[in-house]
Amino acid sequence: MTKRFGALALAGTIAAGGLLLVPISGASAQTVTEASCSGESLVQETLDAGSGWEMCWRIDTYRGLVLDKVAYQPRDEAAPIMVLDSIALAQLNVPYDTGATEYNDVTTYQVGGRRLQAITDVDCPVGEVRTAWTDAARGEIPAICIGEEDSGLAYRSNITNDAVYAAQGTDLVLHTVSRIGWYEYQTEYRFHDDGEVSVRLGATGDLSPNDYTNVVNQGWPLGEGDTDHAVNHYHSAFWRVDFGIDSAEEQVVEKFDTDPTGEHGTTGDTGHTAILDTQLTSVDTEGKVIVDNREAYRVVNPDSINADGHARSYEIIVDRDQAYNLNPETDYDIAFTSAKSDEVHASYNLIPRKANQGVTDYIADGETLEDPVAWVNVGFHHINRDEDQSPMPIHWQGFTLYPRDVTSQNPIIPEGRKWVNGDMRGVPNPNIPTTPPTTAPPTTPPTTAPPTTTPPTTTPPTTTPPTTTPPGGGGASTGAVEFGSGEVTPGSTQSVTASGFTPGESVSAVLHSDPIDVGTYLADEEGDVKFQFLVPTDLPLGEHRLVLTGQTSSVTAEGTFTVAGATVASVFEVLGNTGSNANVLATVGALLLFAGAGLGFAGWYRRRHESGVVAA
Amino acid sequence: MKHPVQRPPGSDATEPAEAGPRLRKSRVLGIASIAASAGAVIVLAVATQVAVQATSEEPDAASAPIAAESTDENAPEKAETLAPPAEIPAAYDQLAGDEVAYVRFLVSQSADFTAGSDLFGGTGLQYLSTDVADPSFHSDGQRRLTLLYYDYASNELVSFLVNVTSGAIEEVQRGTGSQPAPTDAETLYAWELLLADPAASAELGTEFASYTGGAALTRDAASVELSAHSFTTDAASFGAESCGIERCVQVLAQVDGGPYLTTSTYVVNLSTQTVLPVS
Repeated sequence: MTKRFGALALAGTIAAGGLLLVPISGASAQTVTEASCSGESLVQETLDAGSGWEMCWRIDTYRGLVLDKVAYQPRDEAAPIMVLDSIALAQLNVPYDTGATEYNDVTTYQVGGRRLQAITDVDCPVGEVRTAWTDAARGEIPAICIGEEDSGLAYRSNITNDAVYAAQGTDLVLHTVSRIGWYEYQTEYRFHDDGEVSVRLGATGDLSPNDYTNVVNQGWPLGEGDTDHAVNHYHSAFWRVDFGIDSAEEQVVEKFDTDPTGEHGTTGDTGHTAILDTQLTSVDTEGKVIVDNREAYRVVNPDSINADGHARSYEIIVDRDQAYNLNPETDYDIAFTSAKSDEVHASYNLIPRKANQGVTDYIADGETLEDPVAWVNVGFHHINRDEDQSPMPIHWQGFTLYPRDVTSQNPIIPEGRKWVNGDMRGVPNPNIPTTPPTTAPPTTPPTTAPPTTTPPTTTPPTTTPPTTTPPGGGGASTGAVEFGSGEVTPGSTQSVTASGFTPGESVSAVLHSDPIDVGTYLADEEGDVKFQFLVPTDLPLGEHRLVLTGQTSSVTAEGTFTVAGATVASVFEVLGNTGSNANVLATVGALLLFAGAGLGFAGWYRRRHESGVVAA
Repeated sequence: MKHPVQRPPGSDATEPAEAGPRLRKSRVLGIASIAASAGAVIVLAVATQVAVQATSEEPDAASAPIAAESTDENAPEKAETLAPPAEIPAAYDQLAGDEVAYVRFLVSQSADFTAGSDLFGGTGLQYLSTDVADPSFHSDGQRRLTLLYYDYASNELVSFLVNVTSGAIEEVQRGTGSQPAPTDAETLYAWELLLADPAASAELGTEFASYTGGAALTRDAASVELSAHSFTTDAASFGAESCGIERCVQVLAQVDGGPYLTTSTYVVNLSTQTVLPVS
């Protein structure tokens, strides 16, 4: 066990369980997170896209996994930006539709402590298992799985004659498993490479073996026919989200409210497209809300400004119409309170000074919001299915924290799109060089006498060759492209090899000078790109430049090759590349030639043999 | 005293006809001897290594289990003295076992602790849990833990904020109406009370027998896994109206193979040590 002062895992790369936890680069001074925890409790990871996350984790007896000092480092920022002071489950309320049973798992059962399950290999196929001292009876157990997981398409934009800007994304994922009675819950936090945070609770295990009803409308038949109605129930999961955007001294809560003005536009398919008006208002006092249609909330640090001059914030994205709005403990989607040390649980609070209180009690005094804490309630009404019998497929509920203006552009933007910021109408794409208009030479000689010139008294300036900016707005470095042939003909295949890219990244290939997109390719594990493309048949003769651009690393590589007119050899090559019919023809021709030669040799041999006999 | 070496029969070097087989045997024996010696060396080396590892793998006080209950004989609350942990974790670090034992010992030395009663009516509060106190409410970076105890004498939840760095109890809070999850000792005691209740015992015993081919349900039945949750009365529960103010639990008893005994019709009031049928 290494969770001690002075045992900071900062100096190098920690390799464990196949996962490389790489300290986030670029920050030389100790970050807030690094100063807050150490050793096994500190997680720092740079994701494939170059952005990174760092945080402290611990297991709370009741709430389970608690994350503190959660910071995001956009790829091009020098240091991590704090996002959350802490986040954790705050209650899990499970009432059954018969009204006979209701559980509050966080406070009355525990999600951490003795309920936390030891993580096994099947729980953690990707990543590293870390231990935690969870309860007195067991001491330290394998408690959490931490890994980088694929998240699918991060972005894709096909820019005509420029490139297909596309990349796959990854998430840093932390999760634990708790067994509470017959249910098992996976607590999961998913930190995306673009700054988003997905917060989820997955429920699996078994349906309650004791909750069956004869009242048909309160359950769902699981046995044969219309029998054995398992009682439907709700899972209301609450998270306490303590924002700390850019280590804010002061944060404010704002509400987006979009309403129709009652007027309509005159264009559009329907002919009556509504005109919407979005108002942004500040939420100044504690309160709770059911989030309405076209309504959203964010927490802003007005003193933290991105490169475009916009205040950094995080928005809370919740599903609507899911809250169990039937009692004061659960009748809201989001509530905001000022952070207080004795307000820990969303209901049935375990801090004696506010024993048994909940969010409804916390907001009762309508206090002015300072250091806002969001209580996010995600309800899920579980109408049982046959499929939910043992072992029950995991079902999820959660919400998203969505960065708004944390960075002035996509934090993992490909180099080639950095020039796009704001309204770019009328601005030519710098990745596509424009051809200067050709001016006709004057047809008449000048009639004026040339001016008398005196020799210059100064040494003419030494000119340096112009530095060409590679397409893509200035890449990190420029390498060379190797071609299969330095000279090709239109319609033939050209082989391309280049190196120096980030393993796995997308690399666009564009022919110049008239930009022609010849495809987007993936760099292999070594960062090499190898591909072939068909030289367009209408490509003008002469020298052409192929530019490869790594969309994550911004590394570029370029080289030139010549397109020449067709020769006999190139015709054969094209024939060979064109299709099976040409191949067959060429092969038959070669066989005929060979047969002819053979027959010729046989004739010659026979003649010679026969003449020899005669001679003898 | 020395004894002459006795040559084995047929070992006379003057018998050349047997020299070949003898040499082969001797070579075999020599190889066997070398192999045995090498094996011995390896075994000794491994044994030494194991011994060294056994010596160096003494239980780490920070990661090892400790007595789970304040009522256990070896509980930190019953220790005469307990040294502070060798190293103090950072403010946001996860828990370490030695610091938990230390703060439990510190609490046991306070008058607030000794004034209370445990589950069995003994002197001292009933230990429930230890957790990291949210460090964001303190600016000095020191390590603080929050401990929860239950006072069965007053039916109060008692919390202690202990500064591990300084070894001081910084705050004590008391409150009623809040019932954290029960401990293993409370769970087991509730189970014993259930089995001691004639009606509950009869119902559970019959159900248990149906799952086990007629086995008797006893306190020590190894084929039952127990867990429990604290129980607070609600509108649907008749018969346990005092639960919440008093400390009550509902036991879950899972029999080997998966089925749960029907315990949802009973609540055990630990404060009054009574079994309450609920409907």
